[in-house]
Order: sequence, then C-alpha cells, then structure tokens
Amino acid sequence: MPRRFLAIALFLLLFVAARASAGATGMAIDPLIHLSADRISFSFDRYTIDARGHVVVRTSNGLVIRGQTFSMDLKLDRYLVAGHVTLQAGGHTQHGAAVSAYLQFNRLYVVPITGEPDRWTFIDNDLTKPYKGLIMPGDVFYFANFGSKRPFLTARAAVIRPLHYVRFEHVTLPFLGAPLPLPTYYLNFSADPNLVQNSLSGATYDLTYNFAGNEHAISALHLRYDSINKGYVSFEQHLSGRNGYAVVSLNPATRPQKYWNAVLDYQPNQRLSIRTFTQLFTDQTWLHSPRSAAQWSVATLTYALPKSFVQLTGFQTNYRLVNNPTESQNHPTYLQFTATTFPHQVGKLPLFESMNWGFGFNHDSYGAYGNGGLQKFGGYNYTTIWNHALGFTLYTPSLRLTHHVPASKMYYFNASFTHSRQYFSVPHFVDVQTTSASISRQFSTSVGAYLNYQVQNVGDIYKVGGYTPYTPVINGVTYSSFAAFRGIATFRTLALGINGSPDPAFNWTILARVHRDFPKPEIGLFAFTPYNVLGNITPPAQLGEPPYDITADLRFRVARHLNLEVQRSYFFHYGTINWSPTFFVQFTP
Amino acid sequence: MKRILPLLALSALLLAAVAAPSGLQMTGQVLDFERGYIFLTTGDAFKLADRVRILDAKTLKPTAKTPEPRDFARIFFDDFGKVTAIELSGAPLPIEVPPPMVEKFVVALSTPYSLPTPTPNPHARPDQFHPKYTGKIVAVTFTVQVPPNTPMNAQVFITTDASNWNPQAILMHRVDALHFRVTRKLASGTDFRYLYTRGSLQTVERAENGMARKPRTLLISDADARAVGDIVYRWADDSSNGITAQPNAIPTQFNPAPFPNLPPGVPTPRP
Repeated sequence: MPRRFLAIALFLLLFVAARASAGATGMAIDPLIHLSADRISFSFDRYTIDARGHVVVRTSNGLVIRGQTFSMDLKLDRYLVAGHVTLQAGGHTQHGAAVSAYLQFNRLYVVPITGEPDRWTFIDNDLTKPYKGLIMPGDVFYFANFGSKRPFLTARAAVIRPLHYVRFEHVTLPFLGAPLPLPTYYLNFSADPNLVQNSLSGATYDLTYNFAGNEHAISALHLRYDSINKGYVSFEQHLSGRNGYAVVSLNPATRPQKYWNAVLDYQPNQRLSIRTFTQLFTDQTWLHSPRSAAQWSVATLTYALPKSFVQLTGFQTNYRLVNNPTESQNHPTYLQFTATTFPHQVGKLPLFESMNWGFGFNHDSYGAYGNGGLQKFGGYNYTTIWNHALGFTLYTPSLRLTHHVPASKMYYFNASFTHSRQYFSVPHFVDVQTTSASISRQFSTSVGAYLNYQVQNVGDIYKVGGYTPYTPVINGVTYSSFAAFRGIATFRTLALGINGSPDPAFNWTILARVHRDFPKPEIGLFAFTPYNVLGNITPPAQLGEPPYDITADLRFRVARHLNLEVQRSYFFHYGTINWSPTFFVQFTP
Repeated sequence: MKRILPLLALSALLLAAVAAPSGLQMTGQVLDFERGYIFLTTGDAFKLADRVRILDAKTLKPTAKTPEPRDFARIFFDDFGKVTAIELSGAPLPIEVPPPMVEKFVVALSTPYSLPTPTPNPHARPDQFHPKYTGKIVAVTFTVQVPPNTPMNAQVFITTDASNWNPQAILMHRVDALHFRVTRKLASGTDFRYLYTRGSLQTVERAENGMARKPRTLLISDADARAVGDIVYRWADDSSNGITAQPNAIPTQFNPAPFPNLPPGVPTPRP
C-alpha cells in the first residue's frame, strides 16, 4: 500500500513537471542574455546590473555586442551597452557609441559612428536595415540608477532572462564583512508566484542560497535554525510551468529525523485543479537504511461551478513503512466530498450568506483501540465512520455607525455568524458555532483600533451516553471545574487591538484580551501552545487561555533587506505566570 | 555723460558675453568618447576641437584620464561649436546652461526632428509604448476584506513580485473583524503584481471558485493618493468546508487527546 502511494506521488510529480515544461515552451519570452565583463555588480535596492570592462553580450537570438560598459534595470525589459560598441548579427557588423535594446519590441536604438554620428533604429536584429530618424524614447541611453555604491554582489559572468531571472557566475558575496566566493547565485524576479512555492516547515532563521535555476526551476539550499533541530541544512527544488508547479524538499537534510516533502499542483483549465501534498518521514543516519518511516498524503480535487464549487479531499497515512515493531500499524484513510456556494447578498440587506454541504468517511482497521477501529462505542469497534455535514455563514460588510463626521471620527461595525453541524454514523454530532462582532475606528492614516467580541461554542453531543464526569488530579491538586463538562465547551473573547505604522519600516501592535471559557482553564493543566512561525498561537481554540493577557508586537527594519519582529505577552491573574514563556523573535527578508 | 558711461560699460560686457561662445558650456553624463566625438546619455554627440583639454572638475588641473562611459562632464565650446575642454567628475555636476542653448552644436540629431522615414509599425511608436509618469510619490492605501472564518489572531500580508513573492513582505493591520489595511508610498509608474497571504504561500488567497488565483496587478498613476479595495474570498488552507473535524482543535471522537496539550498521564474523558 505505501509503495503504491509513493509511486502515485512520484508519477504525479513527473507528470506535473512534464506538463509544466511542455506548457512553458509555448510561452513568448525574451531572448537569453549571456553577459561577461571584468566586473559585474548587482544592486538589490534597485534591481540593477552594472558591468564594466571588456563587456560582451551574447543573446540567444544571435546578437553579439561588445563595449565598455553595460547597464540594465531588471524590472524593465531593456539594457544599454556603451563605449566603443560593436554589434554583430547575421554576418553584419555595426560600430557605434552606444546601443539600447528594448527587448519587448525587438528594437535596437543605436548611436552609430559612420561618417558622422547619427541615431538609427534596428528592428528584429536586422542590422542591414537601419531606420533613420525614428522616434526614440527620451531616456533611451540613460544608465540605470544603481542606488547605493555598495553592490550586493559582484561577478564575472551572468545569464539573464529578462523579466524572469538572473544567474550570476564566479560570484563574490559580502557576508559578515568578508568576501564569500560562490560558484553561482540565482535570483528570481519573475511574476510567477508558483516558482517560489515552498514545502518547508517554518524555522526561526532561514538563509536561502539559490545555487541554480532558470525561468521554470530553482534549486536551493537552506541554512536553517529552530529550537528543536538547532542548526541544519535543507534542500528544496522548485518547478513551475503554465498549468502547474511542483516542489520537493528534504528538511532537515543533516539530521537523522528527515521529512521528504512533495507539493504538486496541476490546473489543466479554469475549472479543474488538483493539488497534492505528500510527506515521508524517515529516521535514518544520512541516507542509510531508515530505522523507522511513515508517510502522509493529502490530495484535493476542486471543480468550479458557476456559483459554487465542489471539492474532493482525501487523506492517507501510514505510520509504519519499515518493519519497526515499536511503530503504530495505523493507516487511517479519509475521504470527503463538499460543495460550497459563493457569498450571496440576502435581498437588499447589508447581509451576505454562503452555505456548504458535504459527506465522507474515515476508515482505519487498526486504530487506537486494542481490537482495532476508530472508536469504541456501545460495545462495538467502528473501523469506518461515515459523516455528513451542513453549514452556513452570515456576515455583514462594514457598516458605518456615524455619518457626516471626518473619516478619523468614523466608527464601523462588523458582525459574522458561522454554524456547522456534522453527523456521524457513530450516534453523535458535532456542532461548531462562532459569533463575532466588532467596532472599529481609524484615528489617522497610521493609527487604528478595534474592539471585537467573539463567542465560539463547540459541542460533541451524544444521543446516548457521552462524556463522563471528569475531575483531573495533577500533582495532588483536584480540578473540579471540569466536573460539569459533558462535551460542550464555550470560548468567549473580548479583544481590543490598537495598531500603528508611522513608517513602512516600523509597525507596532498592542492586543489586550479577556477570555471567559467553559470549562474554566486551570493553571498548569494545559501547557502553553507554542507560537507558530508567524507568532500566532495554534490551535485557534483551546482550553488553556489565561483570563487576561496583553501582547505587544514590534516589527521594524534592521537592515536593507531584513525585518525583525519581536513579540511577547503578559498575563494577569494567572497564578505565578506573568510573562509568556519566551519572546517570539523572527527575522524576515 | 557720467550716466552714459556705466550703461555703455554694461552693454559692452553683455555683448562680450554673447559674442564669446567659447565661454558656453554644458554638463552631462558621458556615453562614449571616440573618433573625435564625445557622446552624452542624451544621445547627442559633440565634435571635438583639434586640441581638446581634459581637466579634473575638482582641481581644474589637466588629467591623463580619458572620458569613459558613466563619467560626468562639463563641456566647453569654441566659436564653431567644437569642444575645446572637458572637465571630468565621478559625481553629477550642476546644470549650468540649459541644453537648448547648445542644440546648434549637436551632431547627432535629437528626436523628434522631422525625418520623414515612415514608422514600420505605426501602432508601435515608442512614445506610445513607454507612457510617461513623473515618478511622484503616491500614498496607496490597500484595504482588504477577508473571509469571515479568518482566525482573529491571524496576520495578513501582501506578497508582491517586487519582493520576490516574499509571503510576509508587507504587513497589514487589522481594522475590524473582516478588514485589514496598510498604506504604502509608491512612485507613480510602479507596475507590480500582488496577492494577499496569511504569512506563507500555503495560506495565500484563492479565487472565489476555490481555484488558485492569478496575481492582482496594479499600475500607480500620477495622483496624490490612491485607495485600493480588494476582497479575499477564501484562503488556500481552508478546509474544504470548514466543518470537518480537525485534530487537536476541538474535542471530537477522532482526537486521541480531545483536550490539546494535556500533560502526559492525565486521563482524558471519553464517551
């Protein structure tokens, strides 16, 4: 079974990669530019390339340009070569003072030197047909602004695919004050977000080195750090094309416990998409035979309808891929079909609704209960549990509460209500109901505040039986607050948020919250949920929120391409616990 | 007579100034220097006199350096419009004479002088495919409405192609339960693509019909301020209908520990 799923995942990967490449060949893209010079500098601030000394430009459509200097703004589809310029194409040679190539329009604007200087335009690299006196853009021979004088890197050669990527070769990169020689450095600046899709889990620090790539692929090494694995190296390969993308990664590659990830996304047309994620876990020394291995896969097929869409989602997990008796034999499977409608305005009211409906099943013949099965109830072990579900959402847009006042004194109101019920073949159902209302005001362009009240009710309701009275005792202390719990929990949160951004490089947020939950959270019964990589606490609802907390978050720029985010919470009336266990600190590019 | 003399002297000085084109000068950035011409980044060429002097703009002393592309130069002309002296600098030099005054000395004809060569493709004039923007700074305010099921503790970001699709490139601030906002100052003429995320590309926005959506596009035009309003209908990590039992989130029958993070050994309530 596991081999079959791995084979399917591998097939899908190859299929997407093949389709991506096939789709890519049909794209009209600019010619490849091979640049060499005595010194090539790159400015990250301005995304400009500056090359000096013995400049040679060779393009994939047969043009060769030699000159003294080269200048290119990577965001524009043009470059300039100046100083003792020689153009060669199709067996013809043209000498001049400068040439500016506008790639999107296949035009070469040239200052030729024949008898006297002039201005000519060549179209489609045809040097035999100069168009004299054709109107040229006013800034056609301007050098691109390089910004600060310190380049991000220097190199001896570069391969440029305009509007897509540049790959520098024989690179020197300033790193911690010392020059770091690298064979290559790839930089992607394409408009294709799929090329930077990733499959790595979060890390506290991540230094990415893209060592190879083109307009459809990136190969990257990641130097990472997190509190569990400490320092380690990961590898990631990205592939992208017109109709899909694929990402495979090994993370961490230098630790025994490795995660092999593959994300595949294929959208053959505007109505259908297929997305899969497969994760293989191995515990192995380098690439030796693994001591244990597990695999988890999810695939989602989405089909769009005129006012709704349907999805088929499947999970499959194998906890024991090698014969390790200490590992669980569980291999749960899950399949769910759902239909979701678009948001729809209710009459002419300021109210929108959307609905969803679905059914599916879970199956596991092994399961957690001695004799196998997913759940033991009524003297019977359920190995398959069917479900069907119905839910809806109502919400208002922003409603203005005050009129005829300046924008800085305007109050807005929002409300939303979500309810869902899921019935199971085991005789019970789960209700989830969330109600939220907020009032907000923007005090100025840089400071705003909101007050939000949210109530979430979660009920796991059994027709017969149900949750038995429960009184946990920890370290000799009895927690009686759970005695009344019968599977229905309520989370109430009142939040006041104030945020400011006086400058794009500096943001601050203060969030004060009051929690009133049932069952009442008891100090020490629930550990604090760690922050995720974004500083958010997951899961969103848990029985462990302190009654009062205040969180401050600062995000500011510490270097040209580095932001630092620092966050910490303070708890009130929560025993001896005052501060959240750790600062949340994250560097982002 | 005493009144006339100063006027005559002043008139003589003015006449001398006008009649002394050798004092005429201009500044610019060098594009090339060869074959008896100096070329500037305006695309204009100027003919060199037989014995052109090359000076350092800072010391005003002769230098052995020859003008190279990217150098900044102050150019002096003689009566015939030939370049007699060039002062070189590594930094931009102040504009001292408006370029139109030396147009008569330009060798290469500046556009748009009327040469009647027909444009091969009349629909592809450069001034049409290169629209002009002043580059003025425009305050652009992005306001996005997020799906109602967005967690209250979520952060929303804008990812752009200008940031190489860094999913946390621009942090937005929560305005209320459904809206986030941020104001950025961008130069007019900025043309970029963007998407909203919750901090990673696994939580990027999707189209209303559940499909991956193409990046939004924005071209900043010349204006004092601009407001951009968008709607995110769903996130990529939304469960298919939001009502499927999620492990470790709520007490359900599939959750081996219905209360998350219970200390080891603590008995859990089961039906």
